[in-house]
Amino acid sequence: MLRNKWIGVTETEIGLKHKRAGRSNQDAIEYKKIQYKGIQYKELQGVSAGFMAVSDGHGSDRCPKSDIGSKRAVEAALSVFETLTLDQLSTLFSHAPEERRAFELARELCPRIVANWREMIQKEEGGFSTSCEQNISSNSYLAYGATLSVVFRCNSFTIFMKLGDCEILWVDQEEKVGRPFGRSIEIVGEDTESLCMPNADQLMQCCVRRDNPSVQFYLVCSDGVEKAFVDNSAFEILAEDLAKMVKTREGLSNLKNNLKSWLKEYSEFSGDDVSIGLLFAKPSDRSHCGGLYKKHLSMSRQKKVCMKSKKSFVSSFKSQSKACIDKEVTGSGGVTANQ
Amino acid sequence: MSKRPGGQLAKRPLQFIWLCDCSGSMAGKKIESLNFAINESIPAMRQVAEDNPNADIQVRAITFSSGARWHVETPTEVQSFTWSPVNAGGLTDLGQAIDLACDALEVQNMPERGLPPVLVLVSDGQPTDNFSSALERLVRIPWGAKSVRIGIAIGDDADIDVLQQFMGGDARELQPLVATNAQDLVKFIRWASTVPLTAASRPASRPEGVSTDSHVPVPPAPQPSSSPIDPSDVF
Repeated sequence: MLRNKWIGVTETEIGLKHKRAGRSNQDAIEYKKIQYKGIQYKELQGVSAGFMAVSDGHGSDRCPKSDIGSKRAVEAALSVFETLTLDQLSTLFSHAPEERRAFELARELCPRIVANWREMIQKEEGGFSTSCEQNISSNSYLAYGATLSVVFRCNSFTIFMKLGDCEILWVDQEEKVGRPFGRSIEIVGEDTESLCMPNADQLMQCCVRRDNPSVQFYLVCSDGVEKAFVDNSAFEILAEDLAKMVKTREGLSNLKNNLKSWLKEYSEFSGDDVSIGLLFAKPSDRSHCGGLYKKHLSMSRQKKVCMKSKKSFVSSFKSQSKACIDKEVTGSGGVTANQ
Repeated sequence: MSKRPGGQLAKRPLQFIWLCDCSGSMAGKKIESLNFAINESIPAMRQVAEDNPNADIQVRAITFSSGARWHVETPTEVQSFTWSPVNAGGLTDLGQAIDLACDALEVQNMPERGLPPVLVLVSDGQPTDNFSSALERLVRIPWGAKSVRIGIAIGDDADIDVLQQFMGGDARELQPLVATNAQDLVKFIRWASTVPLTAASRPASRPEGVSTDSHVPVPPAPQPSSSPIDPSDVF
């Protein structure tokens, strides 16, 4: 299961250009904590993982159904991750993680997601009259064209997938922004890779990273967000600011109260639909006081103390917490924040 | 409300480039009408900018006769753009004009977040230089391929085929506009400086490689005037 508790927050806002064209929001975004229960997963004793996906439908005259395409894209990805086999989950949740195996597994999932999406689109159409191969070559899927980006976070690994121009960023403990995939500078203007392309399964990029305790914040967004900013640096400041914000309960509350209005503002500049998904460790598990506690106790002893004497632990913890906060506010040393 | 997260927000740059034929055959009524029409179109362009607040419309202009040159080289905010009248004289080096535009549209010279540029070519004759290779370059460079290109013919002697090649795409979708009188030129210039601009301000993403044209859908152009024209206005 996810060691720390993680939270997913999503929000989306329709862009001016689609409002004026009488179109719906072409973006789709989904967060889900996937619980692997059921008899087939019995050996793993109920593991869970965080899934976040965003898709951006093309929204053009040639892609009049891309709002459906984007919804099916996140559904297709989710269905693949929800139905991972015991063997696959064992690889991802292994106590002795093998990165190569995890990458090969993730690589196998990409064409499955694309195939799932095509199948869903065929159902939308009531079944295409020609064969699947003919549909692919004649691009019957163009009307539903959409991009897709996925973050799947489990115990040992985080899997990233990207097809098109939706972005994925992370922010580490030192507030440095990173990306699993480089920015493509060859594609200019509004061109993007798409699920409707005949070779979409080969174009989908995939990256697997070992679980890194210093990275506890991920941002996924549609390109309408990035295009609102004057340049890439200004966009990355968004990730930094949001990562800082969600470290406290107050910041999280601020985020939830204002995210919609911020997205509206971004949309005014890009003109496009804007969607943001944030996946981050819950503030209480990254409190400033965690560092002080760890300084004096190992993790296993922490659990035992909690189990045996919850009340005394809580009161002791609170008093140490206050001392910890006071120390940090005054700048005196000895405390390292547990991120 | 709390401070908005993220760095500086900015509108997306949209370059609009006039390519104006200033050859000898444009002298007299044609060049007067061209200067008048472009000047008259500026308020409407400013209105487009206001109606599309996400687009930062920047205007430039190239003139060509014997050789080509920038008439307005620095991308100028439409709100502060003014038109200095141009004169006619010389040949029709359209190829050089397109090459100048290509230089401006090279990836390293264009903003990353830019909207598809709009190029409007106004000409009354036939190119006197190597137009084909310049056009090949235009459609080869990424921003050139993405650009919305409109051709306006002044008078009956303009090479419509050249203008259609410049516009690219499917001739069934959009054809060069042919202005045989001053009134129509004003109408077409106004359309070309507003409608494609609006379309480019609201582009849709598209799958890479699906089409080689810009495919920013542009609504149909107006028809030539059917009402009686003052003979003095006919080119």
